[in-house]
Amino acid sequence: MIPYAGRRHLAPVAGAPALEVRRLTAAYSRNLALRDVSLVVPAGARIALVGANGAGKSTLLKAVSGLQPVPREQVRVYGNPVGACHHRVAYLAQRGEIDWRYPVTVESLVMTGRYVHVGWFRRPGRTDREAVRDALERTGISSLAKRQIGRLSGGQQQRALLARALAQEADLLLLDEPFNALDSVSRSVLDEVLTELQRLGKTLVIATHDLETTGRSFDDVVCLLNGRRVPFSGRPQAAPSRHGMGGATHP
Amino acid sequence: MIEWLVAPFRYGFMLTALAAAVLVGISCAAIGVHVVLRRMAFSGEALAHSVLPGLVVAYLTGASLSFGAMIAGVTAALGIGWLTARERLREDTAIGIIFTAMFALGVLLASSAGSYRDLSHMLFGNLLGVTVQSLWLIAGMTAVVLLALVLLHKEFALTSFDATHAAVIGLPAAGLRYVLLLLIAGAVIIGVQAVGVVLVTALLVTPAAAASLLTDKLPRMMPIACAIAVATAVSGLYASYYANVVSGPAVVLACAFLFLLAWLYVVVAGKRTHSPGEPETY
Repeated sequence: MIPYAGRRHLAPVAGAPALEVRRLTAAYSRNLALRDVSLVVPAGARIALVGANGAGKSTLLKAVSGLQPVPREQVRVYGNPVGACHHRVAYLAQRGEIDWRYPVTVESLVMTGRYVHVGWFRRPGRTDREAVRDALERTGISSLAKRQIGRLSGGQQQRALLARALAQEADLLLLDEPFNALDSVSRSVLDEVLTELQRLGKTLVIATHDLETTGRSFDDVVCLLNGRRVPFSGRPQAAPSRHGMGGATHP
Repeated sequence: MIEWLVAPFRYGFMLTALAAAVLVGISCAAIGVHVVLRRMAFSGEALAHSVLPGLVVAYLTGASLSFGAMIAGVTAALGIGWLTARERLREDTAIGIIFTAMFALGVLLASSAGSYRDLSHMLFGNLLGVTVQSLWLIAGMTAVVLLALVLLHKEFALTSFDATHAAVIGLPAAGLRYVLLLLIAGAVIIGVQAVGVVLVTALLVTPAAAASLLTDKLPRMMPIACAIAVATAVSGLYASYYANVVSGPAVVLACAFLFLLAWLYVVVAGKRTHSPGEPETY
């Protein structure tokens, strides 16, 4: 196989945490989105990333998934720098980042989760098709496999994206507001799948602006306020002002 | 009836024209599906127009026209790739300015040389004048375009509808865009011989647009677009033979007519499987 990133996938470093962020500062067109954020997520943990909209949750997830360029030393995934282990990281973006009118079926969308294993010039094989079928079943959308992706409800679309993350067989899953505007069926499917993933030893980082709707308990809660990590005080705090001077202080 | 059908192709030049029209139609329609789905019609149009100065300079210096078109096409593809890399409206405007300017330069050069007849061939194509030599070039380019589309199919599709996931798994989206632009340039360069600089966008966009009305599955869209292109190439040639009209515009009009039929079938007869706008919920 010829991997997309141009280098061989590296094996995890023994004993390394699933995710380690060291004093990360990231800017989005002049605005500092993250300031000096550090965190360690042990393998197999389920972490909530909370904070108001604009607190830097998405930027942090994007930095970890390689969408936002960051210095190599500051973000490590299973001990490797970002980009050395694309196959091991799945990123569930918010639904708005996909062109849902594009003429692909649900099945093909889920198959794109296998591409990182297939690489250049090859076509997906039997293992890939089995992984897709399995992922569709676990998310309860097998009957929609041949449907064009725009003809799904919002909850079904979210489940299709979850199925893709499953098909990728990633070890670290980053989910950006996965429970946003979900119907109750999709919500319980998502909850079930996440619990099963954790049982399988996968690491989950779930960004949410509303911890209560996310249900289930977490091993840890990482709280962001205006791009800084602040101690979690029991419930997510609202940012005082998105355009303010970032007057957050550590309590 | 059979006599009526075979009569035009008793002439060697008509057979060459048929082969050229079919090959050009197939490569433009196949790559055109990506052009339509990625909303790159404007880039395609700009690419086609900016090929003109290359053609004219090659003509004036006695170099091969295909060679001139190729140089201009590759330059334009790289230029458009650079200008649209940030995907902002301003770059769109920049394309509009630069490539109309290049087109104007081409017209100016040709008019100063005083050869309007040859200029009109460049603008509107000269299907019946395709030589056996350029037919080989057309065949080669078609093979390159189709081979690249097969080899990079999943990557082109994924970067089109989900750039985020493509980036997460390490796909070089910018590089793929350049490859796609170069392939469009390849199709445009051979398309120019058939229908000319002005009309080649029709071959890129119309069959693919018609196909996108008829199916919402990508693997079917490309063959349907190609079938439409072949049908229009053939019917355009018959029209030009029997009605004694210019072949390039005849092919393009046949394309538009088939698009109209597809549109009527889908929208008026209500055969569309879904509306392309809001996703339906169930």
